[in-house]
Amino acid sequence: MENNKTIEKPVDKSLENSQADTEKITDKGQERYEKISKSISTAKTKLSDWISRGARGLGRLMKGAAIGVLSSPEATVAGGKFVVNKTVEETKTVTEGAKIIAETITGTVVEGVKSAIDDINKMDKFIGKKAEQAGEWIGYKAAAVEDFTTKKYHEAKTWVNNKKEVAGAWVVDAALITEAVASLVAEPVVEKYNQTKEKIEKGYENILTYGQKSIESANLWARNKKDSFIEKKNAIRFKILERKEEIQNKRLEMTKSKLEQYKKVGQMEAVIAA
Amino acid sequence: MNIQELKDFLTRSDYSDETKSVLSSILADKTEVTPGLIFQIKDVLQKEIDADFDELGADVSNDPEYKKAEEEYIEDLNKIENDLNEDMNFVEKELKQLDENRNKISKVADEMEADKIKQSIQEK
Repeated sequence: MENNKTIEKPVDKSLENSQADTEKITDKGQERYEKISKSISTAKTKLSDWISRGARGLGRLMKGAAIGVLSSPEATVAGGKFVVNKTVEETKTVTEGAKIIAETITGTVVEGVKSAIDDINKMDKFIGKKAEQAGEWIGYKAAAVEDFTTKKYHEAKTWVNNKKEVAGAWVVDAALITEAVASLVAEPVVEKYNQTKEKIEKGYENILTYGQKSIESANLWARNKKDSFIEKKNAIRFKILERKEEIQNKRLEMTKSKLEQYKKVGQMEAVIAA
Repeated sequence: MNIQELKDFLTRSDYSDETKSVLSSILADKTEVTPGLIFQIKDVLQKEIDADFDELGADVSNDPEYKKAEEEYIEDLNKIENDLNEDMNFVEKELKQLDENRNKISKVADEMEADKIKQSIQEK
C-alpha cells in the first residue's frame, strides 16, 4: 500500500509569488492605460456634446438675423459660415490628429524595434524572428515619416508647453466678452449687438478648439508613453534571456569539461586493468 | 503598405495560427490601414511576444529596472490624465460663461425686436 502512495511534487512558493507579482505588475501599467483611454473617450464625448450645444446656441442666436429684424442677411451667412467652417476645421483637426498619432507611433516603434532587433540578433531565438517581422512591417514607412514625426512631436510639445499661456489669454477674452455683453444690455443697439455676437462666436470657436487640442495631445502622449514602456519592457526581457543564455552556456561548458574528465578516469581504469 | 500587403505580410509571418486568426477577424472588414488598426494589430502581436517571453522564462517581477520603468509610465499617465481633466474643466467653465452671455444677448435681441414691432404699430 505504501508503494501506491502518490508523491506530491514540492511546490515552489517563491515561484508562485513571483508569477503573481508579474501579473500584478504587468496589469498595473495596462490598467492605467485603459483608464486614461476611457478618460480620453469621455472627454471626446463631452467635446462633441459641447460642439453641438454651441452650434444649437449659435443657431438660436441667428434667429433674429433670419427673420431680418436685427441683423443683415450677411450676418446670417456669416453665422452659417462659422458653423460650416468650424465643422470643416474640426474634421481637419481630427484627421490631422489621426495622422500625427499614426506617424508618431510608427516612428517610435521603429526605433524600439531597431534596438530590439540588435538584441535579437545576438540571441538568435525564435521570438527574435517574430519581432523582426513586426519591425520589417513597421519599417516600411519609417524613412518617409521620420522628418514629419520629429516635426509633429516638436509641435505637440510646444503646444503642450504653451497651453497654460493660451488658457491665460483666453480668460482675458472671456472677460472682454462679458464686458461687451454688459455694455450691450445697458445700451441695446444693432451694431453693438452684431459685434458682441461675433465675439461670442469667436469665443466658442476658441474654446472648442482648445478642448480638441487638449484631447489630441492627451491621446498622443498616452499612446507614445505606452509605446515607450512596451519598448523598455521588451528590452529588459531580452536582457534577462541573454543572462540566462550566458549561464546556460557556462553550464554547458562545465558539463563538457566534466564529461572529458570522466572519460579520462575511465581511461585510467582501463590502464590499471591492463 | 496597403491593406492587402499588410494582410499578406501577417499571413506569411511566424506568428501562431491563433494570433493569425485574431488578426484575420480584425482585418476582415478593413479597407485601409489606419492608426487605430495599427494599434489593434500591435496589441495582438505584443500579446504573443509576451507569451513567448513568459515561455522562455523572462520574468520581470523582481527586476528593478522594470519596476522603475513601470512606475515612471504610471506617473506619466497620471500626469496626462490630470492635465486633461484640468483642461476639460476649464473648457466647461468657459463654455458656461459663454452660454450665459449668449442668453443675455438673445434677450436683448428679443427686446429689440419687440420694440421694433411696437414702433411699427405706433407709426401706423
